[in-house]
Amino acid sequence: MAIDTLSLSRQFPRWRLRWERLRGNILLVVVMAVLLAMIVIPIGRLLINSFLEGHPALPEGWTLQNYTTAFGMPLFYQALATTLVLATIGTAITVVIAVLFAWLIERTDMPCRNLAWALILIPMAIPGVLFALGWALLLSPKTGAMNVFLRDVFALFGVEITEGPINIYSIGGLIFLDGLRGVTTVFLMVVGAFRMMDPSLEEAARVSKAGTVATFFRVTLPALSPAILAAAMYSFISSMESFEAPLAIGLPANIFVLSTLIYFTTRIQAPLDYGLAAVFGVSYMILMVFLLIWYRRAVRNSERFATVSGKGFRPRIVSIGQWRYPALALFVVYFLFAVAAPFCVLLWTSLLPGYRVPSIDAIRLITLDNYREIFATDRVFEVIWNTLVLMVVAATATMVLAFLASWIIVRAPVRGRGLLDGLMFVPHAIPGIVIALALIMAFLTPPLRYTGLYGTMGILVIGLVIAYISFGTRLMNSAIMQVHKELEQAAYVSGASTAKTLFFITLPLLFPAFAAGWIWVAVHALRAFSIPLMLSSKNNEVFAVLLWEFWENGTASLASGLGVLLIIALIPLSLLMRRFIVQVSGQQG
Amino acid sequence: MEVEVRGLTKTFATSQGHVTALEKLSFDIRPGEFYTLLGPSGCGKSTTLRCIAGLERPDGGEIVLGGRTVVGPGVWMAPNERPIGMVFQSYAIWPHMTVFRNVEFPLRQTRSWVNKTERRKRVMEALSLVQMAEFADRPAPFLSGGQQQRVALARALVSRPEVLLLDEPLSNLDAKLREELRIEIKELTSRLGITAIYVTHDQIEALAMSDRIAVMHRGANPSGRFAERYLPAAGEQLCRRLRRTGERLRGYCWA
Ligand SMILES: Nc1ncnc2c1ncn2[C@@H]1O[C@H](COP(=O)(O)OP(=O)(O)O)[C@@H](O)[C@H]1O
Ligand SMILES: [Mg+2]
Repeated sequence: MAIDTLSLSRQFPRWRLRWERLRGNILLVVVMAVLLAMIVIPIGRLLINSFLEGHPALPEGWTLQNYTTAFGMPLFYQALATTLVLATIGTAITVVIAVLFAWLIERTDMPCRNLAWALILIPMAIPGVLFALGWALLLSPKTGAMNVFLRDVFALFGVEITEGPINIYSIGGLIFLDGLRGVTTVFLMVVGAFRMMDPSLEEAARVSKAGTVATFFRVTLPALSPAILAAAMYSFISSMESFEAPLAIGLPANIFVLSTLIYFTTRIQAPLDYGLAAVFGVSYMILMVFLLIWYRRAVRNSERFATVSGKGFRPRIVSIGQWRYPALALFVVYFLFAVAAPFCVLLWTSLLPGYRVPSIDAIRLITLDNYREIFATDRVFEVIWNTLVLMVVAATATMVLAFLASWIIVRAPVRGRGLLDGLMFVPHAIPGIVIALALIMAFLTPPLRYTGLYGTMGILVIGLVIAYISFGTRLMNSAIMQVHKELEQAAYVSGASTAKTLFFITLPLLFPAFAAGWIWVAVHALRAFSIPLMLSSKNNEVFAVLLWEFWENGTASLASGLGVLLIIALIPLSLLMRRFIVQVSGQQG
Repeated sequence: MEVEVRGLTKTFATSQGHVTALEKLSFDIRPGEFYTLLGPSGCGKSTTLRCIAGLERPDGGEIVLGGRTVVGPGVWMAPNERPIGMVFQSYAIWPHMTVFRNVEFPLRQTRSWVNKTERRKRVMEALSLVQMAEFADRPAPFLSGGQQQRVALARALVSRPEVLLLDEPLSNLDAKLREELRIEIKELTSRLGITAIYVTHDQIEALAMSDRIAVMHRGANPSGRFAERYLPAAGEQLCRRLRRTGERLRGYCWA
């Protein structure tokens, strides 16, 4: 807060004035510098490295070779095409399922609607990597539990096959996983619109001679199409960035998407090629920035055309008659696929000495040995400690930075706040894998090399802070707008400095939003996968990375055990997080 | 078309228990009549209208439209099967369609399908009735409140219903516009010879437009449920006041 008064300018020479002004703004200057450094240096490094030959730490000179190689590689185009196809079809499936359930659960007399409302949130608690591993256990062509079951059923009809019938390690498998995966998010994005929609729009259709079905397709869906479209675009963007299923399911089948291509180029192939990966990263990032700008435009346009007003209408329930039970059955099938089946197979696997197809015989073999073995590993406590530290530090750092950034954006009378607003939106557009890649390059080269953070928990924290700061800032922006300016001004006129005002007046007033954001980041940090995996070394392994290591080493039972523990920890945390976030955004209207 | 409402009862289940909105309500409306339900907010006017439209399912009683029972013991006719048109308080103009499309909608439904040339003719006819013909191609969000109300009226009339239901159609408009539209609606309905049921809480509006007025009153006893019937005392008091203010009222009160 710069308050230079007239008397000040009369008494002091010019340099003194400048200094006073800078001193008054020191907090802002530092915060802006940190944010800039955190976002601009890694991205800059990524760009520079795409023009360098050799290892980032030992560059061998400038070149355009990386670009010519990348753009001459059929694999690059294949990965790009696969990413787009996957995201398009996956999103289509997601949106159909999510919109149908949003309508059924919010607006019809389907039985058990309240229970369904709670159950549809559970997939949030299952990290993408476990979802993919669960389905790998269910549908791997030879030993997948569900495949064995299907083969038995076929055998009853005299059809004998030794493999399949379904192979999850395929593009179809990836689409299936992606389609199921996004349902909860899209559901949550559209269900509010279903609830808030003016019910007389539908009633007007009914008295205008339209039946239930015609009303749904001609009025309800089109009237909600702005909200549905926004959710679909959001889901498309998330699918474009997905990494877990393509890693667990796609790579074994030689199916690449952009994110796994980068992982492969920097972590698996020999020799590793950072220059090439940087080109992939830059292209991927530019693509995502355009997608996100397109998304923001669309959302802003759709807000102008509001069909959904904020008035508290009494939701009117549509009777779907004899379709009530088929609708419920459909939901049960969804829940089985999205939660129950993958979780059960992980639980089953974790209780047996080695993977076995579920059967009555195998029940005799059930033991807790895997869990004993997990806790007998020396590393496991270190890993748990690392994970907890990551959660707490990343959540605190993200939210404090987000709070300060938001305060500057909303309140501070300084130039460059518009720039900061734009800057805070950038990380949202960068896929986690690219953030990690950029950080690797930035911390292998000066100036950040001297921090010595490469390969430590520090770099992990920075990665997650970058990944989540856009969300945190958006949350805090709207919260700060709710705090009346005069509450802060009263503190200034009482003689408090900017920093004191911020931490003793503004922050306590915002505490609910701050806490909600903190929990959100902590939960996401607990299940984060792509960034910790990309940045992992011996010293900074976290839970999800250890789990993946077990899986890669062929010890599926141990991986499943860790997975079950992780899910059990995540279920209450995710529900808690959801409640906090709803409360906060509810308060903000 | 004649409208008979017999012993209509409707209870809502809410989180705080049951709310009885209507209890044994009965009245008759003669064909072609402009009939107004007048009463304070929350007395059950909208619920009555919504039961007639089929948007609400009553718990008891029956409703007969033109000799045909549309709801009663063991009988249920969906809203889209009833010979009605309705104008909502919020206008309920579909924002994703043009004015023309909005009005055309009832004629595109299977129950009231009309072929394309005829449809065009009837939509434009309905729009001219409410003086909105030149706005036919305008997207619905670009209309003022009064214009939206006119479109809503055209949409309610285009399928040539026998009964027109209007739920406080003017309450969201400013005073001048309200007066203007009041006259227009009244003229239009008498010209078309349609039976109109009009809901309002505004006495002046009721007096200016109606052939007959029914005064509804909600008397809640301390338990929050309805007293036996609509309170006679309060009803009569209001009627007396109405007689004093409205000179040529062919008033009719039930209590
Ligand atoms: N869907 C509903 N759920 C619960 N209570 C309702 C519902 N609709 C109406 N009510 C209650 O029924 C009573 C009558 O409402 P309404 O018919 O809308 O009154 P009016 O139109 O005369 O203002 C009110 O007490 C209202 O709160
Ligand atoms: Mg009403």
